[in-house]
Amino acid sequence: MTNRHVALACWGLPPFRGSGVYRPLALANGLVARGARVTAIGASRETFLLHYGADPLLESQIDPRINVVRLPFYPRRTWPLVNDWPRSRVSSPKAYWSKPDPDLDLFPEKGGYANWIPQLLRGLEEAHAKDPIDLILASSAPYADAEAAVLAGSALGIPVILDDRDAFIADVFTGDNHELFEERLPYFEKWIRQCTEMWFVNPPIQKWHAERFPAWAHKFRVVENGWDPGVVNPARSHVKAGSVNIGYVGLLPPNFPLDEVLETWTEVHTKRPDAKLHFVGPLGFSMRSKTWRNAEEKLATCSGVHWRGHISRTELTHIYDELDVLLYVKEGGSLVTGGKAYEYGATGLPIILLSDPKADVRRVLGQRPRTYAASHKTKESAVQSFLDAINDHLTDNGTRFDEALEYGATLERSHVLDPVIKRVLGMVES
Amino acid sequence: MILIIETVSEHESDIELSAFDRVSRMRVPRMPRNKRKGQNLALGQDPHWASKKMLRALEILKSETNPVIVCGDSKAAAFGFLLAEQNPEIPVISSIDDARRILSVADELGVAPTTSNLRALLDSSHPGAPTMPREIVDRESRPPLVVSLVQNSIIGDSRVQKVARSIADLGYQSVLLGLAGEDDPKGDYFFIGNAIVMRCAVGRHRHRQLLSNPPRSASYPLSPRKPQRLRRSAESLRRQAANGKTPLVKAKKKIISWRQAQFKKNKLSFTSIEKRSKGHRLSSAFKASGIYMGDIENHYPLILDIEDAFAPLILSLRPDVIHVHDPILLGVAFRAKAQLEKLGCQVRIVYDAHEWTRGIEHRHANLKPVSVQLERRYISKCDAVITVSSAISELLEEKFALDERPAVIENAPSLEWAATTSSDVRTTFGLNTEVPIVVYVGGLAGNRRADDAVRALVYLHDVHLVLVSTKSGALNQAFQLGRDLDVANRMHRLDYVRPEEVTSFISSASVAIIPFGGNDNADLGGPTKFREYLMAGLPIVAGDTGLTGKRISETGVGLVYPAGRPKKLAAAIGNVLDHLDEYRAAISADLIKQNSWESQLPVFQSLYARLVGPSRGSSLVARDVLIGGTNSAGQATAWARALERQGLTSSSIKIRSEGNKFDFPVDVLIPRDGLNSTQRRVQVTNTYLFGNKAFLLESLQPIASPAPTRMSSSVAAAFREAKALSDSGRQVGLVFHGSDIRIPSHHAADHRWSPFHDKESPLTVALEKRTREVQRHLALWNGPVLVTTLDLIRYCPYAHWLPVVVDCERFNATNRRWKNRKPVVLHMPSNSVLKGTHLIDPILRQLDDENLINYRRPSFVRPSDVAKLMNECDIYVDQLGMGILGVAALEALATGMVVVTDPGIEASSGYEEPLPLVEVDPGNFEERMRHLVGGLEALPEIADGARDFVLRNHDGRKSAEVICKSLKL
Repeated sequence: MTNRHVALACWGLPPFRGSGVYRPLALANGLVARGARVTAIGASRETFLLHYGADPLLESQIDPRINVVRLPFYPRRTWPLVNDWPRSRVSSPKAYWSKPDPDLDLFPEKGGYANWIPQLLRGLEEAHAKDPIDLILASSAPYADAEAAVLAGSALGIPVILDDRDAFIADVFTGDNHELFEERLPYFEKWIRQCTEMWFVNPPIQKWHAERFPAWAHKFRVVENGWDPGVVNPARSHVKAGSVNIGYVGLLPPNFPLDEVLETWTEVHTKRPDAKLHFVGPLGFSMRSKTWRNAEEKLATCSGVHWRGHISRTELTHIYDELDVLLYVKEGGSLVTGGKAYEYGATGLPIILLSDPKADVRRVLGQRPRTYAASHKTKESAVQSFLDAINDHLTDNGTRFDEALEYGATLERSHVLDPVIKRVLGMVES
Repeated sequence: MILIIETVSEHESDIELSAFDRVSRMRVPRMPRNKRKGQNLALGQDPHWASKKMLRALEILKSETNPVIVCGDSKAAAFGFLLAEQNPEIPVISSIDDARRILSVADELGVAPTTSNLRALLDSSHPGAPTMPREIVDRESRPPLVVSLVQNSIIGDSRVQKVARSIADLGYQSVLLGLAGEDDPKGDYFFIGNAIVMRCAVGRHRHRQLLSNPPRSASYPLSPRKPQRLRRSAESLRRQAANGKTPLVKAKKKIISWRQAQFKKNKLSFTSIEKRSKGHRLSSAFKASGIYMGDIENHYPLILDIEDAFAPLILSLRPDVIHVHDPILLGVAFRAKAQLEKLGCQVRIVYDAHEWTRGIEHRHANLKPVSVQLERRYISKCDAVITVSSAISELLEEKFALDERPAVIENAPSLEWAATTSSDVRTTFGLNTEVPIVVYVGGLAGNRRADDAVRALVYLHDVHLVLVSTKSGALNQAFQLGRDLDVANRMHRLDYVRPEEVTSFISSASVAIIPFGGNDNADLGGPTKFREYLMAGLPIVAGDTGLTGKRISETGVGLVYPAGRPKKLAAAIGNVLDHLDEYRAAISADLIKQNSWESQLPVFQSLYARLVGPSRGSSLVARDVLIGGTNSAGQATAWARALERQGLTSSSIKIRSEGNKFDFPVDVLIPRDGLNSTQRRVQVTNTYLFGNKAFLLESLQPIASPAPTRMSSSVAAAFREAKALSDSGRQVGLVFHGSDIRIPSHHAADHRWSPFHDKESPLTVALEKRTREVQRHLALWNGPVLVTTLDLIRYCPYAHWLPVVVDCERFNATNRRWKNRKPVVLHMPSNSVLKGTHLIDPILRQLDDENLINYRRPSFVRPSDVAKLMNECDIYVDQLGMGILGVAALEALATGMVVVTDPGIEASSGYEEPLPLVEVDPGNFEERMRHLVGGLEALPEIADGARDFVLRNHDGRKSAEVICKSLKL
């Protein structure tokens, strides 16, 4: 047991409902459970209630022993009070929006997060003044968290661990440099120089960085994601009669290969007319976008396909209960895993895995029983994996389900995080 | 109440909002668009836009508690923004969706939906928009504004200048609109006392069109001269051509030349008094008569041209009174009044009849009838009429059956404003005191019989005649006559002299003359020159007609002669010259006072008090110095405080441009993008500029610049402003901080490591262009120029060094401890290109990697946090390559840090003491840094005395001294 004070610098604390909230939440809860004093500094509740979207129920999952500090933040470009708008924005909105965000000069991250840096910096300084901090753990994104943590760390002389996650300077989908690479590189170099450790979500991303910064490779570590108990309910009854329900759960990103998937599905449907394909989740980031409307149209006209729209995360358990086979589709190259992979893995259901053969998700799910992997680019093998998965579901007597469950248990987040937390606390102790 | 404003009424989403409060909807117009350019007009540029809706919305909102405005669609934001400007505490939410979320959270927390509450709810660290000071936006909270209209270019018209200045002195705001002068046809502005004079560019296309094709006079075919002969000949030729006798071409040519001659004659008749044909005279008389009911202004279309220029300004200014100096502008004033009343503004109109309109002839045949007709139509509708003499006053009352007799405010020179000149009439023409000088001041056209004076010279040996008059045909004729009579060697001419300098200028003459005769108007009015002569202490000889002659006889200050008789004039002058002392003695101080402008002021005051209520005294806060424009590095405020410590009153002002993130404390903060109308710029000028005696203007950035036309650049506008302030008798100094005056190419030539060696870089190009322009303007500037760092004197050799002020209380060394630890090195450039960060950064990083230093390089520091940050660090690396010692380095010295920089040779020699810092250049920077870091125990020794150095030079005493000296305080 330790009595060290760890500050978690993380903009998106609950009630934020974005996907990035679970990892820092688990970290903070894990640290507190092991006896550390934790101060979590994040954006105010209103930030999420008013702008980014909130899931108020999630707040109850924060361990009450954690000292939560909330600081005001609202992105300036989408500021809703016309009173404070610059005149030029009102008189020529087109010109205003066509100009790049001036805040990008202060910090190269879109979304107006530059203003978060001084806030968080001050928050960390105040927290340190009240109760000296032994370690700062910054969880991105936004990466403004990392910048503020590094600034505070060097000013106050505190070690900093940066959870870089999906990579600040890499484009994980293409495996190339990020579009703002030039602007971001000086910051990244500063970070790796000053931080104690830098975490990534999977080995390929770590490798990508280690190749480019061999001198600092010893600081790079992989801290994988995992599934959180409560979201999936592994103990459900596994066999159901009647039609086969195949499901894709989660947001359809703008690069989702919908056409290919639907084409494959049409062929599967002619062979297995009793099967149904469900899409559960929003069709993109904005309801008003053209992509969303196009996708909606396509889904409506394709036979055997049902779209169920956005579902609260608290209801996900029921969704997984209703499905028989899961569909996992991921664009992008070797750097991509996707948090959903762990959740799917926990269900024990057959999974149709359509991805690039080199994608990192194959590492997570490839060895798992009941996974039927194929590339969505080759239609025949994709159709075959659909048929195999359906067949698996219909012929399983429970043994394969149990095997898959057993494998899934290893993907739980605590399995990954526990040793990490132990190591971090050990580091602080020494 | 929730007021949803929308430009289209298709949304039905107010149901969602009705849960929070009563919802009301209003259809509002979209942003005004410039159709030709296809762009939106700048907000507030068109004072008419949505004004009625705005009034209605304000009326609705007035009675509500905690109203909220919600934009139903994005295009309604413009209207919402203008509403918010009037009522900053009413929140305007950009969309219904946002409103739903915000109001539900506010409701949950029980917070009243005011702007500040909602801002705190969204992000309490949001600074809020810089709001325009109330007195700039609100018509109610400013003193009554009087706009005077005149149809000349103002310079040379002393009455309109005096009226405008007196209105301002009475405590009202005064703006005088006139026409652009020949010297600056684009228009300009200047200040007379506390009055703003705007001279507007007037496109005279309609006026010129009429002049180039004047209406035909009915009489010209009857003229007995050449056209008649030509016509006969042409008609005969045409007959012959019809009979086949003469070629048609010849006939056509004849006809054309006949028509050309007719045209020329007609035009001459239309534009000259002497050549006016009977037809044009009859036509004029008809137009001037009471039976003419047509649209009279079309006959003198200059009025319409002027209206194009004046009307938008009047509407923008929203005056309380329009003071009309010319009868032809009465229509313009009344139309503006009608428009303004629609906007809910009450406007009064004062007509100032300078002359008896019926008594003067003009070269333009239509000007007189138009003036007469407009005067007839509008005079009884005016709220007040004033005029220049009791004679005209009586005539006006009688002729137009006015309810009351027009108040009389005579043309008189001002005692208070009279300025002494260094030269006078004798020194100018090299005439010694024995030579008798006869002087005449004023125009010479028409019945002002200058030729009488010239002829009189024949009888007056040794006497010299000085005509102070603008160039004109009449003046040339007078000199031609002088040459013919062989007296030209005793005649002198001088162009325009400023009205307040006239009396001083002519006071060394012997006698003054007013050789008028037979001019109704001059006789009725009693010319200004009579009083100017009196004030100059000169005996007067005048023609015996009208008021002037009567007054001279009454007071005995001179002699009268039968008008139009040069010999008698000569005799009178001779007589006066013989008894000069007697006549001079008759000019008593009381007489001068009675005839001064000041003696008229009570009439003026009571008139305006009756119209718009008594003036609330001067609204201006009188201060000694105003410093500002940019408040760069907070120095304007720092200097202002330094002056206050010396017992002077002083304030700083900042015109904040959008996106400016350095908010140093300042006394008055005005967002530049809100200064988008003439009215607001006039308010700023009136409220913040006029109260001060002296100004220190920074970086040639304009403050208010109430220009009627768009200036070519901000430098030109700022220079115009500085000149206007300076010309109005105020002390103005220009101060430069660095990049605003430093010419990049010169810097590159002098400094090996200059950041300006790359001539193509956008920064260098932009700075080069701007500083060159600044230098061009500086060449024309006679006032003091100050620079903040010693190296800048190179770019303006006659500039003085104004040391920057460091707040030594805030930047203190009390917490400095030289611990035996890794030194913390700070580099904090305001502009990384100029400060040579690319030379500094890699080396400091390297040292940091080697674990020799702890390198801190914050990306953005709030000005208020700098002192704290400096206290935490040990070594401050300022800049490399520029060769300057700027504010940040001095602040670091004040906190007792070790400062590493390249101060330049000027600073090294200019301080007259060794600089307590480590001087480096990019060549030896790394070596010096390693040496410093290697011998940590030497650091306290280097920093020793640094704070005292700053206290000696930069605590403000020296700066205040420099400012006082340059601004003659």
